Formats: sequence, structure tokens, C-alpha cells
Amino acid sequence: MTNYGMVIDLERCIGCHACAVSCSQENNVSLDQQWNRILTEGGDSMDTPEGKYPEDGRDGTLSMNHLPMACQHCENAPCVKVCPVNATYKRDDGIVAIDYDKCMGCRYCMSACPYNARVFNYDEPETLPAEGTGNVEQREQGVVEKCTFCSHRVEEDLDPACTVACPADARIFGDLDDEESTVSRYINKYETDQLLEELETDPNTYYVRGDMTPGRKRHGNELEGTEKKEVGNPDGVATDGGESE
Amino acid sequence: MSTRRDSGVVVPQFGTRGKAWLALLGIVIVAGLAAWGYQLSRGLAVTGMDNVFSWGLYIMLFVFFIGLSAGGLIISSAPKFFHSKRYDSLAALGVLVSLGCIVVAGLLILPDLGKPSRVTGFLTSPDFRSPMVWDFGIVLLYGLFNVGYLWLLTRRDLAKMGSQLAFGVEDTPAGRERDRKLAFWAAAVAMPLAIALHSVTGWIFATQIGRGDWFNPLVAPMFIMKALVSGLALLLVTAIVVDRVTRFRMPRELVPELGKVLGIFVAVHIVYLVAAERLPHAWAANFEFWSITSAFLVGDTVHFWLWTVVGGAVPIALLAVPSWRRKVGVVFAASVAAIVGILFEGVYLIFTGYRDLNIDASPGVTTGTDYTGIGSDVWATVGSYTPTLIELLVTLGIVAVGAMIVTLGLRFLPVQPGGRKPSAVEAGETEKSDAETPPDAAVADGGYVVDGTDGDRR
Amino acid sequence: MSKQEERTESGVSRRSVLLSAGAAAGVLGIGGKQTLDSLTRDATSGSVDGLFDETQVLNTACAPNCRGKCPLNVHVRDGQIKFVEPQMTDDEQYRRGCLLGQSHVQRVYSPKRLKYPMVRSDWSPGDPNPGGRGEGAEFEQVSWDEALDYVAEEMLRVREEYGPESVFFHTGSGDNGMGTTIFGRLASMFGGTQQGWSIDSNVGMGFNRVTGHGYFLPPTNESEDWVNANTIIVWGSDLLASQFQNDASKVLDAMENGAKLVVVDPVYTTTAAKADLWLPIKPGKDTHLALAMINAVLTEGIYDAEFLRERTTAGALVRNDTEELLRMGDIEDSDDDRVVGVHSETGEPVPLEPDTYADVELFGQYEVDGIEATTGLTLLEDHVQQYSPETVADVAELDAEDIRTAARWLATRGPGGIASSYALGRYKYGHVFGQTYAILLALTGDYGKSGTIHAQHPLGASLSSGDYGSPEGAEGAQYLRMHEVPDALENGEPYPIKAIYGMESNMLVNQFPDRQRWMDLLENVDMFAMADIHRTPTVQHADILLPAAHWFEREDITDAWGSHPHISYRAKAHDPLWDARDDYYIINDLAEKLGYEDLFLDDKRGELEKIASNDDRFDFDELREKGNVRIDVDVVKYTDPFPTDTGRIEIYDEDQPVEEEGTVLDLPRPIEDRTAEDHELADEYPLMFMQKHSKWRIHSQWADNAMVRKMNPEPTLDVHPSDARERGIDEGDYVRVYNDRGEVVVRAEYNEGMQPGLINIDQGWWAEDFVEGSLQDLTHMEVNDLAPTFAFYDVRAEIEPAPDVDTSMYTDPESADWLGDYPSEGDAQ
Ligand SMILES: Nc1nc2c(c(=O)[nH]1)N[C@H]1C(S)=C(S)[C@@H](COP(=O)(O)OP(=O)(O)OC[C@H]3O[C@@H](n4cnc5c(=O)[nH]c(N)nc54)[C@H](O)[C@@H]3O)O[C@H]1N2
Ligand SMILES: Nc1nc2c(c(=O)[nH]1)N[C@H]1C(S)=C(S)[C@@H](COP(=O)(O)OP(=O)(O)OC[C@H]3O[C@@H](n4cnc5c(=O)[nH]c(N)nc54)[C@H](O)[C@@H]3O)O[C@H]1N2
Ligand code: SF4
Ligand code: SF4
Ligand code: SF4
Ligand code: SF4
Ligand code: SF4
Ligand SMILES: [Mo]
Repeated sequence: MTNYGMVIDLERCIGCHACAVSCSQENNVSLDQQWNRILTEGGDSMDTPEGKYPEDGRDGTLSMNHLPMACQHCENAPCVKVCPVNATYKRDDGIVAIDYDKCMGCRYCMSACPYNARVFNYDEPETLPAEGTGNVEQREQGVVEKCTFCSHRVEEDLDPACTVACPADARIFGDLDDEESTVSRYINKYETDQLLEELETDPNTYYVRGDMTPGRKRHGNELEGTEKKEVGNPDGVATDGGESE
Repeated sequence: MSTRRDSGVVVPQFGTRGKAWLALLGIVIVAGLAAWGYQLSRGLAVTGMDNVFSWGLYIMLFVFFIGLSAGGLIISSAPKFFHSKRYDSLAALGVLVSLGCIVVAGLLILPDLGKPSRVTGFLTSPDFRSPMVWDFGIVLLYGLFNVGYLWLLTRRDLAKMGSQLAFGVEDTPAGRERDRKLAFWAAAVAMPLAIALHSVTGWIFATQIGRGDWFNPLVAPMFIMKALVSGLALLLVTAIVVDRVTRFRMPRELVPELGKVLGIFVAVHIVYLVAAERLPHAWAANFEFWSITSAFLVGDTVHFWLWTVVGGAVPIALLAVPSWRRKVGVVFAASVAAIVGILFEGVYLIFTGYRDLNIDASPGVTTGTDYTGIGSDVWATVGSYTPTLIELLVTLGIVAVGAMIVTLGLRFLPVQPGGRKPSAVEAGETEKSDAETPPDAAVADGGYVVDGTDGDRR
Repeated sequence: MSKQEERTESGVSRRSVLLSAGAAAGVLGIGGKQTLDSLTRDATSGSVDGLFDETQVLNTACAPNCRGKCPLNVHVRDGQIKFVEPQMTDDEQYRRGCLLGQSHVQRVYSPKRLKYPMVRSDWSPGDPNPGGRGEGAEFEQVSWDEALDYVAEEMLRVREEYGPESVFFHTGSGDNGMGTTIFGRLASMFGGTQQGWSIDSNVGMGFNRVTGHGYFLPPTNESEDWVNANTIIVWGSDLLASQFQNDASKVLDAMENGAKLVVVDPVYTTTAAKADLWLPIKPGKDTHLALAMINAVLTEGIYDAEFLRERTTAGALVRNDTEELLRMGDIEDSDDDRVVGVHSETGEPVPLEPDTYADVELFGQYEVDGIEATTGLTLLEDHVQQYSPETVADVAELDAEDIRTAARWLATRGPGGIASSYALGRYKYGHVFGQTYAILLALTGDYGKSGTIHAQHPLGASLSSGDYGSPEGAEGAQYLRMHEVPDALENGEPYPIKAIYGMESNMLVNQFPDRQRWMDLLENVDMFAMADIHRTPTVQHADILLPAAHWFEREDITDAWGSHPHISYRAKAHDPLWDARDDYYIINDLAEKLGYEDLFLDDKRGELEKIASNDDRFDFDELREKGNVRIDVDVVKYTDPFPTDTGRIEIYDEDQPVEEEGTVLDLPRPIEDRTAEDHELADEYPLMFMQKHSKWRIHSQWADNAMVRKMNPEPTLDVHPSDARERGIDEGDYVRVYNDRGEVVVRAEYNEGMQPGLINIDQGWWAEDFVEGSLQDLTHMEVNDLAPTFAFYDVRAEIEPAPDVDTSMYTDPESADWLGDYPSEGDAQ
């Protein structure tokens, strides 16, 4: 079986927002919503550190990290369990999807999602151009939406838009059930964590912390497992573009 | 006419005040409908909710009215279950109030939906893992049960007065006896149903792992306790008001008696359950004995004070002194305070769930309502909420529907078993109680529901 | 049109582009879709349908003056641009693009597009009424013909009255397509003035004195080689924000491969956050620090002696009497001007040939043929005695051990280098830093090897257009460097400027320092025409407004100077919106009106082909077909003899250039302007004020972008909480930033990572984006003598709360009704 998941290397992430922007564009997301957000783990505003500026010329205590956040596609997804009308469901390929024709906009799923990954179209979605952007239809006012793992792309054997967009090669998408896939090998090799692990939602999104990976070389748009797929290889150094094996 | 009165219809005819009251309700309902129409055309953008604070007044009051709906039913059924006639005089009125409240609660769901027309999804593609599906079922069941129970309690009297609402049932002593037995069984169903209703509603919140205090096994028991407190308080308030403005007569002795019960409920709720909930937090968050104690006893929010002082200490104090609780005015005031307290507790619960984000790093989440153009800030790292006029109007409209149901019930159903009894008010306190009735006679004039909610919100 | 026929101009179909991966392009084109059979339940009702089958994908490129120049794919549907993503590069390791490139959709459909040709209402030929220019100016829509008639007539009149050089063919750095090349051809034909640079030229010119390379930052190995660096010292660059297309990934690759990252920056930036060692230097002390590192390398003896002997003049003798290099001719009485070292074994003088190992003494005083002389390295060693790590640690507020660590890493960990930045050149005497680090890298032997680094961005590929820019019969253009233009405008020195046609620039009223002065200077001009895509502050200040096509609305070629080794092709996604036109056709029409009927072809494709034919490293048709082609450039730089007199890195500069302050620069000596603690403005304006390049814009471009403004809604002042609190400024307060020249009002944002005493407002905001004033009202135009460059960051300022300003534009914004207010298809051209 297929179980799609994502690995985001926080050591590589430079907080550039390319993935966030690309997500909005490709998925026709309204300007007042953002499915994929880049948070700053640090000070009170974006791109500021926490800690104290060093007084002795040394590194001091400052620290700052970027944390890209979108739907985590939880295995044990609370949003799925609460949706009264089966509009939110877990697909067999691991993607947590929303049937926009069924969603009645009760927003129960929003309070269920511990990651605030979901947004609701309070207003008529607004895009520039008004006819919409990207490669999917706009959702109606009154329904809830969120990251789809770009299911429309995945179904065409394409990597998600954010993954293709990341200039730091920090995002890797693939099949968690395939032991040979890059996501699986990264999870096995590197220290990864899931957000709010203690809540036992068991997200399909894993974050690498502490150890930099070779990253996913952006050689193609195709999903791993399709023809001519080259992605970073955790077993090799980056010099070979991660193509060994 | 006389049959009617004898059979216990407490408003044989609408007088000027009655008509004015009906007209007022009508206007409020129409205003609510208009507001909802506007909301439908503009979307939920016209509410104060956003992506962070995604449930607002509608759900807060949904929870509140679910709670309110409990009291009447439990008070009317509990004695029956023990074959006691103790509160028989309040039974029908209690169930009527329950019905009004559950209808309000059910209706409050609709304007909260982004796509109300798809509410049919509950029936066509329900997911039985969802507590909301359980809740939907139980609200429906509870509402229908209330209708049936109310009819059961009044059908012989209806038959006696020749009302078509008797649906062919006849008033015979044997029939009355049979109904008494049936009522026992209905009571046996009513209590677990009420408990289930509150538990399930509690579970809607208690199953939410990501929302601060919601994820708490105590939520469901708390909901039951809240229901007992607010439901009984509402019943008392209603009975007292109805006693004053209609021919309904509340037995004098019930006032201190139910007042005492209310006092006990409030005590259990506030002193025990709230403490049980707060203590572990205070204990875990503080080190020194005195800081644990003060964190536990002294709240830092206005909500805390509202519900512990207004909703807890005040009613307990008023009801604890036997001579005070014999005064109708005092019981009335204590009940109102208890209702206010519970309302605030419900509001506070929603706030605790939405105020803080689990991952609150900057810039946070998009509110989903704020994009006005280049240079507008769409981000939030904390939840905040103020209901809009639209939400207030829609809510008032729905509450008015509930009031309408109760009013019409009083007009067409024989809620006073066995006809007229001496009024609690007449029994001795006329002068004093006048002072305790709210000065705004138009509102006091049966406007208990308006009083109980709108009054708090200010 | 059937789907089969729905092909791009370059003949590549949708799916093949979406799926293409170099050689595999097209193979996967048809029938590749496999449905997920596992999606039984709700697979149809619930899944989101992609609109790929109706979408056309074109090749184009983004090319403002960042170091991206990214080939992009544009998705077009229903005649509208819908999505942009990085195009596969010919050489796959260079695939790139940033948030800005991927937000072009909102740029094309921006409400601030310039829509119609317009003329300022109170302007007319002969009666320019320059006082009417500026924010309040009103314009009347005219036809293209009319607008260009005005421009041509005024140009001809000015040429008649003052000479052709009085017409300024002004360009900035807005686009890297063929626009300026084409414009240059017209300028040259006309004999007008073109603009040389006085921005970013500081550090590179200092470096040039040592190595012969550099004007802007010197060449550095192409980024594919960065992974081989063992130590990268990022010096004064937040390169993960200003080099954040795929070059960022190359730095990360190097780190993953074991490299140490050192960041020298007063601010704790995204780049500093990733560093192994961060040196929070005081602004303006970079030359001190580099000298201290030289001191450490020499004291610890960790210099690369072999490299110094082979490729530098370290061992070359400097005459004690004349302070010039000793030449073979001095001792042989010939005109052999090869410099001389002392052979370590024989003690004999030997000539130093370019790139030839010479076993010479590196240190010492010698007497050769009766001439007392000292090696350059010894002179340097003596000179840096005063810059011990301890001394400099005091001055620059650093830790001496950290300085040593950085020096050791650079010297002993194998090839590495210094990714130097433009920020250091935004201090008045930045060129001395260029001189210093060029020498430091020579001591550590970091030139000409895989893994060596000399600048924060690689060189990339530039298209050579041959003599296209100087057509037959051309007068030839005159050049004024930016800092010389004010004198021409104000005093007519060396000649007056009376008419301006500007394009691809927002400099005159937004990006140049001392904005108020430029606005005053422009009053001396009779006709000021601006062609731009957007209605920028500079456009608003002009007399004649010419709406230009967006990059995606025209066919073009771009190269990738400063970026990566590819040339890219731009296909046209749709016609220019409203009445906008491709600059090419505007210039072509103008040329005709000026009487140069045959200067350009009527067909742009033909013209592009003509330009491309000058560069034999690629074929135009192949370029159109593929979207971008890899150009064969040297990946590793500095492998040839250095273009200096000696063919070697010249550690000692015998020219002894003297800076304005009287400092002799035979060896690097720090000179400071406003960063000096005792500067005359220091008491009144205690804060240093810089204007960093931010990831949210490339200069002033994207400032009007709805997608970007969502993340970065308004200008802010980055300030350390201690500086703010001292002045009673709370986080989020609006503050007045001011100095002796002007003021600007912005919202304060506390940032612990800012060095106390240093404040920042990101550059590029349009004047109208500020609540009041503009950041350029505080900057000045004072430049140094040796490498004149605008010193944007060498500015002092003070801040105070501004409680009484009207901030409603941000605190109470009105809902925009412009969303959707544009024609869905172009109606011009
Ligand atoms: N996103 C984006 N990328 C760009 C551009 C853009 O506008 N946006 N512009 C492009 C252009 S044309 C240029 S010239 C480059 C410029 O890009 P960079 O060369 O990176 O230069 P800056 O952004 O000027 O400054 C970078 C850093 O220098 C630090 N700094 C300031 N003063 C000092 C000092 O005295 N000493 C030291 N050591 N550090 C100091 C600042 O804190 C800042 O972090 O970027 C290019 N890339
Ligand atoms: N205070 C301060 N000021 C600075 C700096 C700083 O650090 N601090 N940095 C300086 C630096 S390093 C630089 S390089 C300069 C850059 O200054 P500019 O070169 O003025 O930079 P841009 O903002 O990119 O302006 C380019 C303009 O060209 C327009 N344009 C783009 N493409 C086309 C086209 O195809 N046709 C036409 N007709 N117009 C087009 C854009 O819309 C935009 O208005 O800014 C400098 N200004
Ligand atoms: S992140 Fe939230 S929306 Fe996504 S699957 Fe988990 S609970 Fe559901
Ligand atoms: S808002 Fe829609 S998706 Fe979410 S729980 Fe309600 S019906 Fe389900
Ligand atoms: S997978 Fe697709 S929808 Fe999800 S964040 Fe990435 S781009 Fe957005
Ligand atoms: S695109 Fe990559 S580097 Fe940039 S914010 Fe997203 S994950 Fe981080
Ligand atoms: S702005 Fe620069 S880095 Fe970003 S996509 Fe365009 S060319 Fe590339
Ligand atoms: Mo620049």
C-alpha cells in the first residue's frame, strides 16, 4: 500500500517562504488564507531570534529556527474522526482529504486539529487574478480547506508544489510504506520528530532536527517511484547529488 | 372556558400584555431571520469568528441551552421515577421549558454552518465516530421525547377540556392511572437521556486533544452538573415569573425546597467539581504551598470571578440561610445569578480552547477574514472574539422562538395540574417581591428567557 | 484548438514540461496518468481534480538584479497566467527560483501596473513646469504615437540646443533581458549619455588592486563547486536571504559535507543562525577584523607558503628607499621589469614569473646589489602587528579566540574562502576591505582551487552581444557614473542633462540615496520619460509615462550574470495587458521617430536572433526549444595568471594610492567615516542606520505584490529592545527615524538579534508605503576617491516615538476594491 508522507529538514530550511507561496498559487488559495505557513521559532516576530544579544562578542544565547507548517496528514487524524458528515476522510494513500461538496462548514474539524492547519472560507475567496490561480478549482465560501498534499499533482505522478519550490531542497515527499523511499530512509537514518507527538495524532509529516541531510535534489517534478526519479540519498554525501544506489 | 381553567390552562386568553409580548417575540424572530438572511448572503465573514476562534456565540449558546433544557425534565421526572407526586405541579411546565430550550439549542446549530443546506449530511453520510453525530441524534431524540412526554403529562387534561391536541385520547380515571404508570417509564427514560445529552455535548469538547482545557475527562460530568444548576435555576425563574404574570400558581412550599436543592447543586458544582478541576492545575503549576493555594482559590480572569462569585458564592450564600430562601425574591435572584454564572462558564470554556495556539510561533495562522488589500495583516498568534450585531440578532431571534414555544404552551396546554392553587406570591410576599422583580416590567413580564441570556451578555 | 495542438511556442507540450527531467522530457508525455486504484471510497466525489489538461506551460525567466536569473515555467490557462514554478535547467543542479519568482502571477495582475501612456497634465514641450512633478502630479492618457512624438521631439530639440550627450538614456537594474542591450544601441546611435555604476562597486575595486579582478564583487567558483569548500566565511551578507534561490542549497550542501560556516555580521540573521561561528562585529570594523586574521595566520605560521611562492608577490622585494618593488632591471640595468625575490638556497635574486613556483624567501630584509629591500610579506607582517586579535577584539567588540578560530579554520581546513558581500561596500571606504581579504585569501592559498570562494555570488554566464551595441555610423554613447550625474544636472558639469528617458529603473526617486536632492535636481530637466511595468515613485515623478510589458508578456533572452551558467529564453504567455507594450517596440518606434528607420527589425524574434548570433556558445533555436542552455564557463576561477602587472597577487601595492583622508594604501589600513565613534555626528545621531536587502523584494520590485505583502505587510524598523526602551518606544509603536537630512516614519519591531546601536529598515519600499517620508530621505551621496560608491549604510540617525502621525493606512486599512479589476486578456500590441 501507499502511505504518503513528507520529511522537512529544519536544518536546511532557510525560512524563505517559497513553499508557502507556491502552495497558495498552485492550490488557488484565497489571499486571506494560508495553508502552508513558515513559522519562526524564536522571538515574537517573524525572523527574529529569542535569547539575548551577546555582550562579550561571542555567540551568546540567540537562537532562531524556521518551521514550515501545513496539514500534517495525521495517521490518527482527529479532524477525520470528528467530521460529522464524512467530508474529511483519510484516503487509502494516507492523504487526509476534504470533500468540498459534502462539507457543511461546521468547523468542528478546525477545533479538532491541534495544528491549526485548517482554514474556513468565511468570505468569498479572493485571489489575484480573481478567476483564480494554480491548477485546481477554487473552493466555495462556507467550507473548510487545507493542504491536500497536492493530491491532484500526486495523482499525476508529480511532487507537491511546495516540494518542487523549495530552493534549499529541504522538503521530501514520498511513500512511507516503501522502505526504500527517501522519506523512509530519512526517517530511519536521521533524528526526526513529529509535531505535538504527545497528542498521538501520529502525523505523516516528519521534521529533521539536529543533523543536516543531503536534501532532495530538484532534478525533476516526478514523484518518487516514477520513472527517472532522483532524490537525495541519506547514505551518500551531497556531492553526488544524492544519486548513488 | 371554565373547563379550560379547571383543566389547568394558565393563560386562557392573551390580554394586551400578552399580545404585546407575542408581538415583541415576533419582531425579534423576524429580525433574527433577516439577520440570518444577511449572514447567508455574505457568509460567516459577518460574524466575529475567524480561523483561530472558529466557534463563537452560536456554539457557546448551543451548549448553554442544552444545559438549560435539562432542569425541567429532570425535576419533573425524578419524583415520578420514585412514584412521588412531589413536584407534579411543576412537571408539565418543566417539560415545556425543556422543550423550548432544546429547540433553541438545535436551531442554534444552523446559523453556525457555512453551508446550512448540507445539514442533511447528518442523515445521508454520517460518520459515527463523530461526537457531533451522536449529539445530533440525541438532540433530535431528546426533542421528540420532550414533545411526547409533555403530551403524556397533559393529554388527559387536554381531553377533559376538549382540545384537539388530545388527539382522540379520552379522559377516564383508568386512563389517568395508565398514564401515571406510563409516566414512570417515561421518567425512567428521561433521566438517562438527559444525562446522555449532556455527556455527549461535553464529549464534543472533551475529545478535543488540541484545545487547552477541553481535553479533560471531567468535562462531561461538569456538563451534567452545569445542566442541573442552570436547568433548575431556569425552571425556578420561569415558574416564579409565570406565577406572577399568569394564572399559574407555584406551590409556596416548593420555593425554599427547590432553592435548597439548587443551593446544593451549585455547591457541588462550584465548590467540588470546579475545585477538583482547578486544584491539579494549581498544584502542578506552583511550588510553594501558599502559591498553590492562591492559584487555586484566586483566579486571574474576569471569567473566574464571574462564575465563582456571581455564579457560585452569591447563590450559595443566598440559598444557605433558611429564612432567606423562603423569600421568593431571594430564590429568584439566586437562580438568575446561577444562570449567569453557568453562561459565563460556557463562554469561558470556549475561550480557553481558542485563546492559545498549540504552536504559536510568529506569524501564527491566517485569520481568514482580514485581507483588505496590499498592506493588510492577516495573521494572528492568539485567539480573540467579539460577537457581531448579526450574531446577536440571529441568536436573539432563535431564543425568541424558544420563548414563543413556552408562551404558546402556556396558552394551549394545561400546565397547571388540578387547576388553580394559591399563588406562592399571593401567599404572603406581594409587597416585597415587587421590589425584587426587575424594574423593567415589560421584560419581567414573562421575559425570563430574554432576561436570562441577554441580561448576562451585557 | 485541440489538446494535441495546444503546444507552446517552443513546441513543448504541457505534460512533458510538467514531467520533464532533462533527457526524459517528452517521454512521459502521454498516457502517464495512473489512477490510484486504492482510492475506492470517495475517490471520485472527494478528490480534487487538477486542471492540467487545460493548462499550457511555457518557458520564461525571472531576472531582476538578484543573483537568481531563474528559468521558470509559466502555466497559462484561459489566457491567464496561473502558476509559476522553477524550470528544469539544462544542467540539473542549477534548478532554481524563490518566493518572488513564484509570485509573478500577482505581479502581472498588480493593481499598480502602469496601464496607459500618459503625459503630465501641466507639462508641454517648451513649458515643462517641473514644479508640478511628484506625488500630486496628474496625468492625461494619450496615444502611444502622441507620447513618443513628445519624447522624440524633445530629444531632438535638446540635441540641437545642448548636444546629444545632454539626453540621458537612463537604465537601472530592473531586468536582465535584452532591453538595455537594445536601448544601448539606440543610445549609442544617438550619442546620448548612459550610466556607469556607483553602487556595489566598492569592495570589488579594492580586491581588484590586489588581484586584477573585480569591479562588482570578484569572480568566484560557480556554485556547483561550493560543496567542496571546507570553510565558508560569509562576511557581511545574509546570503540565505539575498542568495536564496538554489545557491542557498549549495552552501547547505557544503555544510552537510563537513564545511564550517562562519558568519561575520552585526545582526543575528537567518544565515548567522545556521553558522558554526558567528562574529557579531561592530559596523565598519571589517577591515580591522581581516587584518587581525592576517595577524593570526602569520603569527601561527599557518599560511600557504607554496601558494605564496607560486602565485603572489609575498616574496617580492620592496626597495626601502623608493618603496617600490625591486625589478630585475634595477639590478641588471635592463628594462626587465620582472619583480625579484631572494632564492632560499642560493640567496641570489630571482625573477618572479606569473604562476611559476619560485623557491624564494618569504620573509626578511635583504641587500641585493647594494639595494636594501624587504619582502612584501615582512612589510605586511610588521604592519599587522598593531592588529592583534586582542586589539581588534576590543575595537570590534569581538572575542579574540573566535577571531583566531575563524583564521585557523580558513587556513588549515583545506580550500575554502570568504563569501564577501556588497554590504561592506555600502560603507564609504569599503574598498579597503576588498584589498584586505584579497590578501588574506592569498595567505591561506584560497585561489584557483575547487572549493575556494571569493564572493557571495558566483559569476554565471553573460551573453556577449559583440558589436551589437555600437552599430555602424553610431555616435557612441557618453558615460557618466551615477555619482557624477548630480553635477551634470545641477551645474552642467561636464555637460548639462536636459532630457531623460529611463527604463528598468526606479533609481531616480526611490533607489538612489538622498531622494529629496534628486527630486530637486530633476527640476533642471525639460523632459523626463519613464518606461516601467509599474507605477513606481520614479514613474510618478516623470512627465511622460510609458507602460511596459511584464517579462512574461514578451519574447526575450536573458543571461545570468552573477548567477549561474545558463542563458534562458522567454516565451510570451499573453499579450501585454491594457495598453502596455514590449520595451522593444517602444524603443523601435522611438528610433523611427528619431530618424533611425533601419536601426531595428520590425520583428523582435529576428532582432533577438541577431543579438544571439554574436555568442557562439549557444544556438538560438536550441535555446528556444529547450528554454535554457548551459554555457561552458570555468567552474573554478583564478586558474590563469592574475591580470596584474606581475601576473601575481600583489600583496604590496607599490602604487601607494592615497584616500581622501590622507591614508596611504600600499598595505590595507582601515579608514572609517560615520562608523567612527568620534564622528562629528555621533553625539546627535548615536545610531547606525542600514537598509538591508530583504527576501520580500528585489530592491523595489514586488513591493506592490499582494502575495508578498501578505507575509510582509508594511515597512518596519528593526531595533534592539534596549535602544527602543531607552527612548520610550514599545514594540509596534510608530517611530520617527531622522537625521540631519530627513526623516521617515515606520512601525518599530523589537529584534533581539539587532546589535544595540544599529537599526535597520529593509530597502526597496516605495515612498508611498511609508506612513511618512522615505528611508532614502536619510541616506547621502558622499563617496570615496578611489572606488566611488554610494555608502547607503554609512548613515547615522536617531529615533523617537511618533505618536501623532496618521497611521490609518496600516492600522485601519480600507478594503481594496481592486481585486479583479483588470482585463483578462491584453488589448494592445
Ligand atoms: N532577496 C533579495 N536578494 C537580493 C537583492 C534584494 O534586493 N533582495 N539585491 C541583490 C543585489 S543588487 C545586491 S547588491 C545583493 C546585496 O546582498 P548582500 O551582499 O547580502 O548585502 P546586504 O543585504 O546589503 O547586507 C547583508 C548583511 O550585511 C550586514 N552588515 C551591515 N553592516 C555590516 C558591517 O559593517 N559589517 C558586516 N560584516 N556586516 C554588515 C547586514 O546586517 C546584512 O545582514 O543582494 C542581491 N540579492
Ligand atoms: N537605501 C538603499 N538603497 C539602495 C540599496 C540599499 O542597500 N540601500 N541598494 C542599491 C542597490 S545594490 C541596487 S542594485 C539598486 C537597484 O535599484 P533599481 O535598479 O532601481 O532596482 P529595482 O527596484 O529593481 O527597479 C527596477 C525597476 O525596473 C522596472 N522594470 C523591471 N523590468 C522592466 C522591464 O522589462 N522594462 C521596463 N521598462 N522596466 C522594468 C521595475 O518595475 C522597477 O520599477 O538599489 C540601490 N538602492
Ligand atoms: S494536521 Fe490537522 S487537519 Fe491535518 S490531518 Fe492532522 S488533525 Fe487533520
Ligand atoms: S467543517 Fe466540513 S470538514 Fe470540517 S467537520 Fe464540518 S463538515 Fe467536516
Ligand atoms: S503539499 Fe501541496 S497543499 Fe500541501 S503544503 Fe505542499 S503545496 Fe501546499
Ligand atoms: S521553501 Fe524550503 S527553505 Fe524555504 S521555507 Fe519552505 S521548506 Fe524552508
Ligand atoms: S527574484 Fe531572483 S531568485 Fe527569485 S525567482 Fe526571480 S530571479 Fe530567481
Ligand atoms: Mo546591487
